[in-house]
Amino acid sequence: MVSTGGIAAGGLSPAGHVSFFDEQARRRRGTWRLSFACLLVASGVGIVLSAAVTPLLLLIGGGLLNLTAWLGLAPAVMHQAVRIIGGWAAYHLGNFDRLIGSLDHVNRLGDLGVLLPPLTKLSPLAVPALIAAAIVWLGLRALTMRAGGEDLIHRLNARPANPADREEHQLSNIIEELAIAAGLPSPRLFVIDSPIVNAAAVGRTHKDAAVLVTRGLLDSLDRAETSAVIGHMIASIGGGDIKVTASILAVFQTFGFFLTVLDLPFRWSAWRALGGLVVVSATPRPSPESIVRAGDSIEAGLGADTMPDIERMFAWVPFQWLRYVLLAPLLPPMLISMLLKLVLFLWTAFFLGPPLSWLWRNRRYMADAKAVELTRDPDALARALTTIAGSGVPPGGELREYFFISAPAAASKSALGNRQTMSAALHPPLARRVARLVAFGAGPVGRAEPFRPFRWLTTLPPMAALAVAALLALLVPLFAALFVMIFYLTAIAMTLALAAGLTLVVAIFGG
Amino acid sequence: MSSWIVVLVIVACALYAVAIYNRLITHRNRVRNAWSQIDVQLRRRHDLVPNLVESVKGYMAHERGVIDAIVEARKQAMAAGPDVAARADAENTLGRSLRSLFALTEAIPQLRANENMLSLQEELGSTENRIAFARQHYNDSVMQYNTALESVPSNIVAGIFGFRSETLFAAEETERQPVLVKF
Repeated sequence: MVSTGGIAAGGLSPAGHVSFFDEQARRRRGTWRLSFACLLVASGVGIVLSAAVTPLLLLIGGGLLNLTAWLGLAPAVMHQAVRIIGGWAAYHLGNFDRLIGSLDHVNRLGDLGVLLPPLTKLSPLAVPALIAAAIVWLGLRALTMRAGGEDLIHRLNARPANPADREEHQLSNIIEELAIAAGLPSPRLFVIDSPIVNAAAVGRTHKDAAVLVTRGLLDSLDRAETSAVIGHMIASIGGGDIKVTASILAVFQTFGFFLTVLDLPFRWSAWRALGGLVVVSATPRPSPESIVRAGDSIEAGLGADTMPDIERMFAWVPFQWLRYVLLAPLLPPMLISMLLKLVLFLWTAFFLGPPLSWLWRNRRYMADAKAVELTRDPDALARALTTIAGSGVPPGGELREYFFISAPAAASKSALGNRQTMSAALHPPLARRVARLVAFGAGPVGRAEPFRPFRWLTTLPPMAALAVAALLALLVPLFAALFVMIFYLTAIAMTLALAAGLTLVVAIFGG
Repeated sequence: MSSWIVVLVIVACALYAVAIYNRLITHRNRVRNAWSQIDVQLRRRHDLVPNLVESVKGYMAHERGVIDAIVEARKQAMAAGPDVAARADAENTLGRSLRSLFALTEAIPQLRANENMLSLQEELGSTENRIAFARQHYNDSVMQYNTALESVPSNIVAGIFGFRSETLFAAEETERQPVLVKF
């Protein structure tokens, strides 16, 4: 191994090359833009969910007020407040009727404008749900931040580095060097005994972060390449990627949370998941594993199947027909819950997944640029990425593959990876990453070719190319039809949820 | 009405000035912190030198001049005052003489295989990297700080409160080459 100090500071960059400072500034702006896009889409999903969540909140609020009155605390005021809730629900039920009524006047696409005034009148209904969603999101994000991905250390059986081993001692030297380069405190170091070449960064804050490196990486990369990988890790820690991960995960967990609450009447595991979350939130110092377990079971609410639990719940009923009779009143809310789940799945897959994965990819490019700023050695990072991309994720890390510097799309088994079916991977394609590094001045690297995803089209014979083009053109109306279908499903789910929920509120608290 | 607007504008300007002042303080503290980090690493190198000299002395009796130069350079570097330019000069001399020593040890087979020497080389190589990285961080911080000092409108605030620009820790032309330390 030859040590290369990161000495060549700055220097003149040849024409056409990009400075890593400019790249970082560009990526930072990209982070803001993509975060904003994610926020918009997530609010859209929040509005969809509000059709079920707002009536639920009204029910809970009214129930609590009644309970307080029953306990003898200012009963007059409480009853008045309950009446206000009932009145508000009745008022919006009226608006809702008017909206359904005006649907009769919609015969052509141009008539959709007729729906606008009643929709605007109904829009305050989304506010309580959106506020609740924001609070739940902040809480879940704080909880995920507290875990900081540290469960990965146990999941991968990572151990502290052994200073007697020359390679591992050198690794701890490298980490300290790059921490100095970034002006950050040196992170903790763990070694994973696996022949796979990869590395990950976890931790609550940049003050107590940890870097996990596989033994395979130590054995197959030289000092400069290892430095480049560690540079990426330090850049990721310093750039606050752990916060970004927590924010993204918390979005899914928030959706899962509300669906879990809606599932409470029909699903045992919903009680378990919610109970686990409450226990973890109430524990003063929960372990990272318990936080992650609670978060995962809440998130599972997004796709949980209710039927088996329902059948178990009614297993004690002696006759089949009696079971059906008892089940009948549960069917409408179950239908609404299932519809909402379907709509939510479609929204996350088609609208929320892509910006979220672009956001994460953007962070990877940014950490690459910062790593080059630290080591001033784009060649080494390009070589290291090429080696890592061919290797994979160490066993046990598949569920948290986004913490690693690079992971093949096939290894993606995480919730984040699953949700975005439109864009395959959370990590940018290797060729594109290397292309960015070449722009910083890296030389050509072995297998990496210029990134041209549709290059194969030009090599086809003319007739075949025409057929492919026709097929692609056919995709456009197909997608349009798909989006219209998602829109209709959303409208149906929202209408059903809102009608049932508001009617229930009005029936209980009086109009 | 118009007096209110004047008051608002003055308050806004004052708040803006406070923000600029705080940013300058942050930059300056980063520069100072970066400098202390260089200092720590340079001291680490000073501490490693006697150890190194002890390990190679027996094998390099015929190269006394090089070893004496290193000892002398270390003494100079440790005696150098707080002035950045003078300190950089003395440290660069030490770095140069260390590199020439390592170039010579390449020719001695006993040293190339010596376990103690190998770990010393890793430590010194790592220290060289740390110094280079600390210097890089220091220079980047100084650059940001000086840019803030010179650009409008922060230069006005800097002038009022007497912020002074900092000196870059210059690297020699020869040091821009990769360090020739094998391990």
